[in-house]
Amino acid sequence: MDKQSDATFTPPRHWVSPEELTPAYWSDPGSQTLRGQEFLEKPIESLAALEKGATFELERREFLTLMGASMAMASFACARRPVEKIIPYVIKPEEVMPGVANFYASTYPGVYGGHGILVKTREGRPIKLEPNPDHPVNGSGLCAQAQAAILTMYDPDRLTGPVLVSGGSTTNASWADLDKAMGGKLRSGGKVRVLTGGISSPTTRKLIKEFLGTVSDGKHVQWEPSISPALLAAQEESYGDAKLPVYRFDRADLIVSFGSDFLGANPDQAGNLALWSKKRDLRGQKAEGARMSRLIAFEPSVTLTGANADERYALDAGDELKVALAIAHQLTVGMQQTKLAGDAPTREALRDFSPAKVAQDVGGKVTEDLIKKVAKELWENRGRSLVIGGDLLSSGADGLKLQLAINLLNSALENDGVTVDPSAHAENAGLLSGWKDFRALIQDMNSGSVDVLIIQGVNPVYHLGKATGFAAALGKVKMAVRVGDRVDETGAACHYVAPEHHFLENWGDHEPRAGVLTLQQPTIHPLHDTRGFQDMLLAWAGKKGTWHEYLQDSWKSVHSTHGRGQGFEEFWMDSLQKGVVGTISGKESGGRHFRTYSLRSLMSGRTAKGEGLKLALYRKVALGDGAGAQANNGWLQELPDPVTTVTWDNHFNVAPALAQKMKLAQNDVVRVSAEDGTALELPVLVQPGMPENTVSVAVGYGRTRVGSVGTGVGGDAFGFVKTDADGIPIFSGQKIKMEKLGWRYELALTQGHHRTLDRPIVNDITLNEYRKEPGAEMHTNPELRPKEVANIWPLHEYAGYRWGMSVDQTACTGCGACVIACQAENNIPIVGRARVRMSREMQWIRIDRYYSGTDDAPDLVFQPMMCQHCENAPCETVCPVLATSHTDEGLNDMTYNRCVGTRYCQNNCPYKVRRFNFFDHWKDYRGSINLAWNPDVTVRSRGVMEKCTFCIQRINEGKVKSRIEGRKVNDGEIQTACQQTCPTNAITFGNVNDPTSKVSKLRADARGFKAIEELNTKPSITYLSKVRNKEQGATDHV
Amino acid sequence: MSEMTIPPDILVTGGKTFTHVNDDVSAPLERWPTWKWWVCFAVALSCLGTGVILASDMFMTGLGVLGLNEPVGWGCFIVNFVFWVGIGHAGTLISAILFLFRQKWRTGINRSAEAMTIFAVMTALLFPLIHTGRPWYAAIWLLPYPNQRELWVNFRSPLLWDVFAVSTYFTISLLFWYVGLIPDFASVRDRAKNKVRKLVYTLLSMGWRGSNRNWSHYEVAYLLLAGLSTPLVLSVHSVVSFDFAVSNIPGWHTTIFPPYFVAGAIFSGFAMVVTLLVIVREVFNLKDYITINHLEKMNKIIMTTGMMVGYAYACEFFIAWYSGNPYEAFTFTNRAFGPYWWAYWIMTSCNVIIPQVFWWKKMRTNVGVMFVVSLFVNIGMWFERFVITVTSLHRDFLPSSWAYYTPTWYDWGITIGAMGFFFTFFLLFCRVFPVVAMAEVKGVMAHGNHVSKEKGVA
Repeated sequence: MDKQSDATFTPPRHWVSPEELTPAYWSDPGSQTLRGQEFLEKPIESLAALEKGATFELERREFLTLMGASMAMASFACARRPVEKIIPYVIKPEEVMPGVANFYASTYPGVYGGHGILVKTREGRPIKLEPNPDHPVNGSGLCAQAQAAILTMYDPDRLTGPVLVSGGSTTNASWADLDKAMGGKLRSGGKVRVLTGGISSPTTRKLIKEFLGTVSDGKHVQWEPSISPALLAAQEESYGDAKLPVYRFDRADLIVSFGSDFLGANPDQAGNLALWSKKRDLRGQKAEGARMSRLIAFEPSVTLTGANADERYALDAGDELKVALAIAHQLTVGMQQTKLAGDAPTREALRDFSPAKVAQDVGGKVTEDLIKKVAKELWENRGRSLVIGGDLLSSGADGLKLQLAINLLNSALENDGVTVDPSAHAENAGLLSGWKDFRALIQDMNSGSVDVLIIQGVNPVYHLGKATGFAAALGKVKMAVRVGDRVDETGAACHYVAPEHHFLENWGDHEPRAGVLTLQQPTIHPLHDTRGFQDMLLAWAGKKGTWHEYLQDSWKSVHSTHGRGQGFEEFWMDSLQKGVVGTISGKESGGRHFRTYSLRSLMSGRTAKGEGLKLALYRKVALGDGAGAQANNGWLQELPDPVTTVTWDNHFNVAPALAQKMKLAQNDVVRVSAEDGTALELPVLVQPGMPENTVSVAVGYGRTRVGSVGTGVGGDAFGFVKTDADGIPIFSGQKIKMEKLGWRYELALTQGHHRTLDRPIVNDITLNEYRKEPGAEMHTNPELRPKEVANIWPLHEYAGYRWGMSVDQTACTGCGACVIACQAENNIPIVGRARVRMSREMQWIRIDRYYSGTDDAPDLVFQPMMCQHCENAPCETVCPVLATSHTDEGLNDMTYNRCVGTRYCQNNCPYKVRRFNFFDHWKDYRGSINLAWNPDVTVRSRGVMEKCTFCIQRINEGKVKSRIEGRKVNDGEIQTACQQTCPTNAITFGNVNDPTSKVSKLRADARGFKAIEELNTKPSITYLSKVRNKEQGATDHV
Repeated sequence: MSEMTIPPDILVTGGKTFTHVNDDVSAPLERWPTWKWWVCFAVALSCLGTGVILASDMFMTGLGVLGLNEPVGWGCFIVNFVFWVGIGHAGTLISAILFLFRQKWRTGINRSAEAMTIFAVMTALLFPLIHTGRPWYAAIWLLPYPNQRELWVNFRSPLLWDVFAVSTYFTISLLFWYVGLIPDFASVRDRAKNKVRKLVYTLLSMGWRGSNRNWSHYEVAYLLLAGLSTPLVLSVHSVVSFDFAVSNIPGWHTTIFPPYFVAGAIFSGFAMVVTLLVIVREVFNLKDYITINHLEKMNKIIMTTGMMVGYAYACEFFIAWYSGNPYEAFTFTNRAFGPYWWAYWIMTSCNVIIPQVFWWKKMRTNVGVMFVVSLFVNIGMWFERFVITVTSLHRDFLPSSWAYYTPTWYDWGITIGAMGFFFTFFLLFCRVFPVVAMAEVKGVMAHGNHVSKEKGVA
């Protein structure tokens, strides 16, 4: 056909459109090019290439041409769209159906082996991450950071090719240049060091070893900042063998935490939430003998873990050690229990830490009775209790000692091997020696003997760069190559930045637990001119073959153990499809012998508390360390912190009593300075529950080079970190001074008022009350469950399906994963700090957080609030154009194209769950970010109201699928985005007309109530009361 | 016989004859405006211009330039809407209700008052359009026109009722005003020397000959239109109040709103009439037609309706406590002592306290005093709508969604633009239409009335 020319033109016999009958169509160079490119590969390149008319080869991981619409989305401003020709498939690629998603199992990488994900791809590009139900650690859900990771792949600030860095500016380079430079340097005979974060991929570690085998002096340093070095050092001292324990929260009936945020800012958050909530699920139990685990938290700031604790005691930074030792004292000396009761070194170490003395020292909420009570309770729960600590908050000067104390307690209580499982993690010797190796590396760097340094996966210049001395030492390295996705603080101080694939573009494997392996597979051809880190190493080692081939080759050994009679190809395909190979062993590993001699450092006795303010550092749930690409992720920056509801900035948390004493109001800017002169100026947040003499601040802010979204947000608190004589960083407990500067900075909070004022919004009861009376209500005015609410109108009838939801407030921890999942699924824009201040945030779910009790010891309850899909919806009656209406399946629909934006519906909604588009937010999305949109959901223009739709696109998809298969939708088949990602399964969604569905049963649960039911809106969402396992006999607040 | 006779009011002072009436009232139409008028017009136009520029930017960028947020979805624009619609009610009351009650004194003021109504309703109608997110669709989709998609509007929504009520109100008021103007146009036409002027007024007067037939048609039409307009005085603002009363927000959801709003409308409307007429009578030398007597009567009405509004405030507070409804009680405490306490106290002092000066005859006959009071009353009434709209929205059922609304420059600029819009039209009206109803005034003058001559009344 293409050989036609004008002169000899004969129209084709079969044609698709009238244009094909004209000679012009066939001779038109534009359409010729397009026809030759039916299967394009790189969405970004194709935009440019289509102009040039280049041709591409087909690769195995082929994907589709961007449809004309999505090309237009990525490239147009607000002018008329350019005329483009769309050529439909003549031969459709296998497996690809436009409009139908394909799911691929992969892994979201993390230091503890990552989490299993299913990547939802549409037309060849990933748009959403879901939890892989087959993954043994996080089968139930994904955390907020994982949900947001999809946006980072499409980040327009990613490097599109290698760059050469010199004198603070960057110039584009080619891979050939870099390879040549590397080749030269690597063979020069000097020291070659590869510095990475904790690598959970056994094959990658193997490859790095092989790579270093090709040079004369090579070493791999795995420096993982999120694992406390004190923890590992203490494991070594107490048990003779540094092992990273797995905490089996599902085996613990009592957990005592010393500043640990295991439910919040933790790389294994989703896994921990899943385990912990298993022991607290009241939905499967009868009320009378209901059992729940108990969590007691001692912490110097208000973390998500503390917020969800059954009992929480604030203490000043640095006091955790004393309390832990006092408990140990009470157990061994006071109660004469545990096998260490008669042990002389133990008694010697604990001599000075009697509960009375410690209570006097620590003061505040920590009393002698409390310590004794906790000790007694721990003893009663021995073998199924867990003492944990070691996050930044409790990593002070006494960090190592605290870990020793915790080991002592766990061993004495026979928890070791049961709830503290040291053999459950896969062996990674390099990870365990990380800090020591890191210090040795810095020494080598300082001596100028390091020729080549490859840095991947960590940002050591930003992250503790000053404290560790890395930043200064980097300048002495002859050739520093930063492998990352952008020129960050570390990259700017290196010589080259080699951009690597995003995890969704790369192969890999991971080992989350001993005996379990997961695979990571690319779900899209790389967007930019990037290479996988492993491919770089192969190239620089001069080896042939790709990382994919290397991985497959390495997995032949996995095949031999797990192969089970399959051929390798079949086994490989099966593993890729499932994503997970192997299971977690259910065995308890048996307690290790505790070396009491390790307590010798404690024998120096108690140090006095000291006057003045102390500082505590912590990680925020949304950003974690903030050292990676998360800081440039708008979704994460705008995720309201569960406890403070602050977006976009960090701040100093100050107790109300302290604020009053120093005459500080919220948003006053203060200058906090440490004894060595380090200072930071940030606004104050008055935080109920803070101890009176501690000020806490989040790390991960104050980035100087991360991209257009995250640079300059907040202030860098890492400057306050010093290292002790052993090189262990001291995060908390520093003495500080705080002075008011006289000016204000308004923090962008999403929730300004924190009390329910006794309104019937939440129900917060104790376990005792629940056992006696499952429908127990706290006092509200009016009543939480009105006896009768009159209805003068006939209700809607629901003949077929009727969708309803229930949210268990006991299971909900406020982690915010649902908020990000909803944002990813429904194309919800971010609005920026200024507009959050004006109260215009767009997320469809907000997690309301209410305090009860006193300001210095509050209880917190979280309530995810989204559209209640009321039967008597107040919004439906008042919309003048009927843009919002009730469906015959119980949903409150929102018709975007009919909405004229009078906002009466928003005014009339008592729950205030509607969001108005004040601007054309989509216009702010430039370049590759447009690839992240979910094509099933409209992108709203300005002037239009939006709100939660119960993921109607998923409901319709599910209904269509079941209709095709000639059956009804099964319970649990349709999952809303929020439900699917919730790690504790707090959200249940389904067909209320089906009496056997989970949601029907939960709606009838005695704990169920509706928010402000007496308004007679008849919401479709039933909330289940929050039940807290407070101590025996205690009833809740009024 | 000792008969107590109440002397009839002297409605037109200065011994005017019918010729005087024609001359005095037509004079402003026939001369070039003075610098005073030009200054006022320039100010009004520049306010209007500011509003137009800001509103255009708002159309291009989005409603985000205003101070609105989540939960406060309605702010200055709706306040303006209710404010201007309310003001309009005074004109209709004077034109229609006072007519039916045979209050002869209305004749000196009804023309200007009705003009004020028309322009106030026009100004008000701007706001439902521009406050929507997509006004280019709101303009058509709020009207129930038959279409292929079989889409109808939501007749249950008070905003729809507004569409009907305010458009009806505008139509009737316009017709009523125009019908009343016809004899006066004819008078001006008959005096006109200039060809263009004569043509324009000929067209406007629709062939009025002053015959018996013309007059009897006129009287009947006038009576009918007055009868039609009368219920509108009560119903239109009741319907506007339903925007609030039909919702479920505490502070809005209350049955007192229709009478409360109507009383408030008349209150602010009369105040605006006083403001305008004090200036008009001064500038156009019409003190003999718009006498202190007229103004005093209007001030009495202002005070009466002011006290009704004050009573409504007290009622609301009482019911908020008596009902035992915690949301209602909180809303009212929040109004007086919460973050918007300043708006609440402006409202109370301007609406309840300041009009009390009118107890003293000296005060209510003093032009300076009444001018100042009328301005304060309008400020107070604007703030009343602001307090109602904003304080109920910003803190309603769930404390987690409470926020604060701060109007931006765009809010204020477009508010001022609306005032410019109103005053531009009113100033133009003063120059081209007779500001006093000549034909009706002649009907109540003693001159030419033999009966009154006998009784010796001028």
